[in-house]
Amino acid sequence: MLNNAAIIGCGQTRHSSKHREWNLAEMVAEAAFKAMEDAEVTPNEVDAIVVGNMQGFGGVAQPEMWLGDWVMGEHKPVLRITTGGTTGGSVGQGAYYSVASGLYDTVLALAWEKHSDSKEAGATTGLLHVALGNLFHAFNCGLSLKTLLGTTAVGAAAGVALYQAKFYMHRSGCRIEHLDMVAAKARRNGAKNPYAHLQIPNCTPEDIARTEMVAYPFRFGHICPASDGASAIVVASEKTARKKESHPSPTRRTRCRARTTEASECSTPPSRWAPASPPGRSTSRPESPTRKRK
Amino acid sequence: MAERVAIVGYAQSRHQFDMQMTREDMVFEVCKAALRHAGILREEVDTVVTASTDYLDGRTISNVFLSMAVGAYLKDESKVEEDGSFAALYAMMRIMSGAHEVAVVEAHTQASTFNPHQVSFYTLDPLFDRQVGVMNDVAAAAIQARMYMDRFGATEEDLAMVSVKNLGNAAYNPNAQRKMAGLSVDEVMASKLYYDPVRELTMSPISDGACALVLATEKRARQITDRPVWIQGVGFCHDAYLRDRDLSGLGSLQIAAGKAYDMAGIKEPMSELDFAEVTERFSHEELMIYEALGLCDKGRGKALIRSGVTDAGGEFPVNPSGGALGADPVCATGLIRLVEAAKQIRGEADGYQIEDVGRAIAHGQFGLCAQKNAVFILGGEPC
Repeated sequence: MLNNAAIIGCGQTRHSSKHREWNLAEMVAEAAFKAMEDAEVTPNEVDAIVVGNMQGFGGVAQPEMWLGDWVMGEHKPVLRITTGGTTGGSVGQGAYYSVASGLYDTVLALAWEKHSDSKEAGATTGLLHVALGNLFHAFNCGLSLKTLLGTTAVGAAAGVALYQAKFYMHRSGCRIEHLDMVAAKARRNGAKNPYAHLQIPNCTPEDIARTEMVAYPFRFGHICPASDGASAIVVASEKTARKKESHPSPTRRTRCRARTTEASECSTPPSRWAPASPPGRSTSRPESPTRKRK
Repeated sequence: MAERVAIVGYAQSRHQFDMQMTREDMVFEVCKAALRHAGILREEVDTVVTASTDYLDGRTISNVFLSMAVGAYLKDESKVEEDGSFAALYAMMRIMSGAHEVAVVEAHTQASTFNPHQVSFYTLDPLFDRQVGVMNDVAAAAIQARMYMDRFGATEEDLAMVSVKNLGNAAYNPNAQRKMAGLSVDEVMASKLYYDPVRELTMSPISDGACALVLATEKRARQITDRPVWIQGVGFCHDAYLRDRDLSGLGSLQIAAGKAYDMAGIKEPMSELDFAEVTERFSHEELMIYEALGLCDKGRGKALIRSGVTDAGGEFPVNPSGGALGADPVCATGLIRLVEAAKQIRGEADGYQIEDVGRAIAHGQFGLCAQKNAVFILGGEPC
């Protein structure tokens, strides 16, 4: 038996390189309260909170210990899940499992990053540490520092990812122009998203191609920015979600269904995950991930 | 309750100050031992939840290179960044949701590489407390101890009696780090003073250690073992920040315990349960835990320790394994409590077995002054 869970509200801050108007706690609370307002739940109706960010990037260890109060976490179960770059997704999974287990009915999931609180964006120093153990292992096996620097492995996330990019390009025949196109598409789409950090309307692949080469094949334009921002979702049991849906509010209805990501879908037959058809609606059309207004 | 969950296997390391092993080796040994204890193969495990913190491990995304060591390669793996008992809870949720059947929970800390007390400074409010720079976890615990003692009239001797009991119990536990049989109250009172009234022997030692647990659904548990230990109730709760809460009590533990008791259908914990394994990083915390768990009235923790009810041979033993005062690999400590409770229920606690154990409490905590608490009710017989 699998319990269904639904996302009944979302909230996020605008993402930008420096949020000087908020401290970390205020930024997280901004997203949390937006999500709760969107879901039309009061903080008292939230049974549990799942939080996560990259440890140490904002310079605070276990930040939910002090910012728990800002998101009304006092005397509530607050679970911290962190899995590096996948933290946001893992936190969403945590909220799903909290509801699907039947232990909690309405769960708030929160993820954030405030890079500007670190002296330099954590994405460089922090991620270098990921490979550090292996680099030392390479030293033990006789790799010299000069060779190491020559491999540009010290370029942290970008330095490591370029091997993957090169390998992929070699195998697939993809060229650097294609990377330019991907980046340009993302920036053009970003221009339509009010929350996006990089919003460049009419960005062309040529614009990206003119940016500085960081480490072949990556140009500056190919690399994601380090943003300050927080996002939140409210996940609720099917019963609560349906109740909210039938609530005679003209502006909203819930459309999204929470599923766990790839791992769970691999482990269970897809048919079990097929969303139950909402009453009075055609099931032939796939449900739009964006919220439709009546 | 959607799906009943049982503990079907477990293992822990020999906790010591310096393991002389890499983190990966330590974790691998423990996970392998847990699977062997359960008698299952790595292929039969559906999901893995680990617990550790990047600060304590001294590296970013500390779980990435552990996925092979914990047997999570190409499996649905996640990491809880707090005590292992919260990881057990998350794994339990994953099983209860019906998506998974067998889960491995792993928690570890190598405190010899990174001093946990140093890290505690970074968990403080970065805008004020950290700038002032006088507080750390031991100082905060000392403030808590003094507030508790002043309010309820507990004395330093009461605190010392907790250490005498737990360190004495640890002497019979082969995995404990600080074994001190025949310790006296005077010796504890004469140990080095860190922050009044916290002394060397009334606070937990710095340990390396790891612990792993195998959880399964009812159906799988019956296939795997004939002695499953059922998780009958759970509760966990987070308290407000240090400055915004009543430090002289453990409000969040009281709420967590209440939820766990409700789930397990327990009205009178003292008479319906047989013993408890609790995480007491400092002696005074054990007295506060007695009260929050409802083993005695508020402020009567001192009476409980004085009467000897919670001794290993007493009516309601608390920490027969020696508790966190015996060994404290920070993130693993809560999970070790679960393992020790399961061990007693299965009658496998060689040398420190309590007689007639049916149901037990296991408690894990995390944060300054036990800010977060998780409570488990374990039982041998299906409820």
